[in-house]
Amino acid sequence: MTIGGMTDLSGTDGVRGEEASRKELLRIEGLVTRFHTARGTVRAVDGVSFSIGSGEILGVVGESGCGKSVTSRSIMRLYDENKAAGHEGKVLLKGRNLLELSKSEMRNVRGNEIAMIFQDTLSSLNPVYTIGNQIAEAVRRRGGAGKKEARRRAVDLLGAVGIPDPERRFEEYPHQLSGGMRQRVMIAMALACEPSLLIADEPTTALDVTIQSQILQLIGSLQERYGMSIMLITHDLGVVAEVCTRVVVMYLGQIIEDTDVRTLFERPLHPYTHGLLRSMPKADRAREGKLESIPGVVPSLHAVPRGCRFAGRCEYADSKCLEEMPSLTAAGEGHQVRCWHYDRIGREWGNGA
Amino acid sequence: MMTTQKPLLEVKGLKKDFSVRTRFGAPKQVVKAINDVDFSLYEGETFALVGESGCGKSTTGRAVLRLIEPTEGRILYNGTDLAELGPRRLTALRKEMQMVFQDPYSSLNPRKRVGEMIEEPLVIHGIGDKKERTLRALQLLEKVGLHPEHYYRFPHEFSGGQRQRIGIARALAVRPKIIVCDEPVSALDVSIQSQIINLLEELQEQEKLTYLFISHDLGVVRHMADRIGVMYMGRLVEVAPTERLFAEPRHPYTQELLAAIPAAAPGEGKLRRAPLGEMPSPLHLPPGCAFQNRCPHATERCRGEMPVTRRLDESHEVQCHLYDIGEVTA
Repeated sequence: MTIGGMTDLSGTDGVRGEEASRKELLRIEGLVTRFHTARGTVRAVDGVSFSIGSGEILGVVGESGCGKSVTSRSIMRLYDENKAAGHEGKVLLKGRNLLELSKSEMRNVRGNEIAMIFQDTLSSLNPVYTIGNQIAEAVRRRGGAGKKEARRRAVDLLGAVGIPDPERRFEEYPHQLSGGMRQRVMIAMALACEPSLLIADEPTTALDVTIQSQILQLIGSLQERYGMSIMLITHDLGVVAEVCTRVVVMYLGQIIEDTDVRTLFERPLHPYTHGLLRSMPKADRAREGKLESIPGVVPSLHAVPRGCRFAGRCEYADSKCLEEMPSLTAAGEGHQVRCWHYDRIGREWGNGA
Repeated sequence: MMTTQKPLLEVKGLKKDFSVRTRFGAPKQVVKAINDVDFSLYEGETFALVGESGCGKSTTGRAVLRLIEPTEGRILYNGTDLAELGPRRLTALRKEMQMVFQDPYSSLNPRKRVGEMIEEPLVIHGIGDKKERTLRALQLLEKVGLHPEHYYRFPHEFSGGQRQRIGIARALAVRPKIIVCDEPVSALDVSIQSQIINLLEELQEQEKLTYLFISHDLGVVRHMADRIGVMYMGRLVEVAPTERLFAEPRHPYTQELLAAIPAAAPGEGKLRRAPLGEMPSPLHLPPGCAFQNRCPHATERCRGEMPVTRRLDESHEVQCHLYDIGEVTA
């Protein structure tokens, strides 16, 4: 098995965190996703570039409409490209541009190299087949396994994702399982493909906090065991802190900050990232007066501001911010930020401001 | 402090059963959505009900307002039993208790203008004439951080956060004493969530409001609440002042719940143990304590006998066999 052998590479924190030994699995360059709507064309993802190293857990964070889910679906090419959407840029998986592949080549990538799990498990599983059947089918599509072998593998996978009594559960239908158990089934199906990249789109958002914690621990342990890379899309910074190694923060279709997880929490440089961290009510400490909040709302994609997209809500904004869009600039080792004032913010944050 | 003060609202032995048919033709079965819930609300405080989906926290909120009829139990507002009131007097009392809903999309009528919706409760309760009501609606819009020109707009013209502000304005219209907030910020993005939390706090201070705050988000609850009640499978298993609960959670379920909170910074959460198991089906509750299958301390006794609520001290109550020493509450 290819994925089993990679465990040593990614098992330790040292290798995961370090830039130097980082091997790129997926590289996205200038990705644009356009949608044609009744009110004109919008660019839901507007020039996004980032990469995922092998064995990395990358968090993609942002609020509704920031383009985090659209980015992941564009990687998988899940949109109807004739009608609804158009792509520009490159999505390079191990050097191969996915946006140039034919439909059948892309189907192979989806089955074998990239797997995806979603927030809504009930609509992602087929209600009329048993869960075991669906996992066994995924195993067989991967190729090389007969019916019996596929069944055995499916039962193993159910066990591997922590479903008790897998032999019996094999025969059950999606509606007979709880939300947490269904998410485990989704993960087992994803693992059946032995993917090198797992995209998890808000995998714990619909779950209760105790179940969320079980699923996050499962994702973390499977990453170590199988050595795959994970792209975790979430709006919850707590989830990011829990499992991710790197993070990109998105705002209105653009990446505004890209760094390792520790730097994001300890020394964020974009005012929006600051705002998110400070406006989150903390469950791990007593109340410290009023919550800080980011004023205003996210602008509409139909009326994207000319300069910096966050300028209208930003306490640091000046006339330059309103006129000129800042580009994503390197602000340190493996740290990129899209802001004209990051220098000043870095100094103030350093002084405990 | 709590013991000397008279409660504004008292809930005693509240029960709500729902009968469900598991499949076509099968006999109906009973789900005890809430079972023997007791708590009090004191004037000006925020009392939070927390728990996971299906624990009965929203049902409790609705039963308190008699939006659903409780199966059993008493709800005393300033000493008056709500269950004994006829429809007319109940309507009059409803003025004192309003509700803010979770989903700002489905809780507003899409065909009505914002102003009209805020005035509706005033019409129902026969407060003021047309002109006074319009004036009040305009004031309320401003109070919740919207503008007078929003009066003639329709809900679809607003974002989620703004809709929640409209819902709050509508709840405030009749100058209630108590507002039941059912997951008021759960559907909102982080940056908007904090705006609404701050608004709710400002309004509480200005209007001397008492909140029954229902939420699954422990961060929000720790920030907002003065006291917290933890619910599990329809029962209130622990009640304590907020910081007390976070510092010394007594019930094993509360301990699990607090341990499951995601880390606030990287590296802090990695060593925790995973919580055990899942909730049992409410249709097939085991005899005894409902938490027994997930509880690391469960004994023979927990499998046979339902624990009673005991008072550990004047502000801390817990429903668990591990704490056998406290005084039994009524």
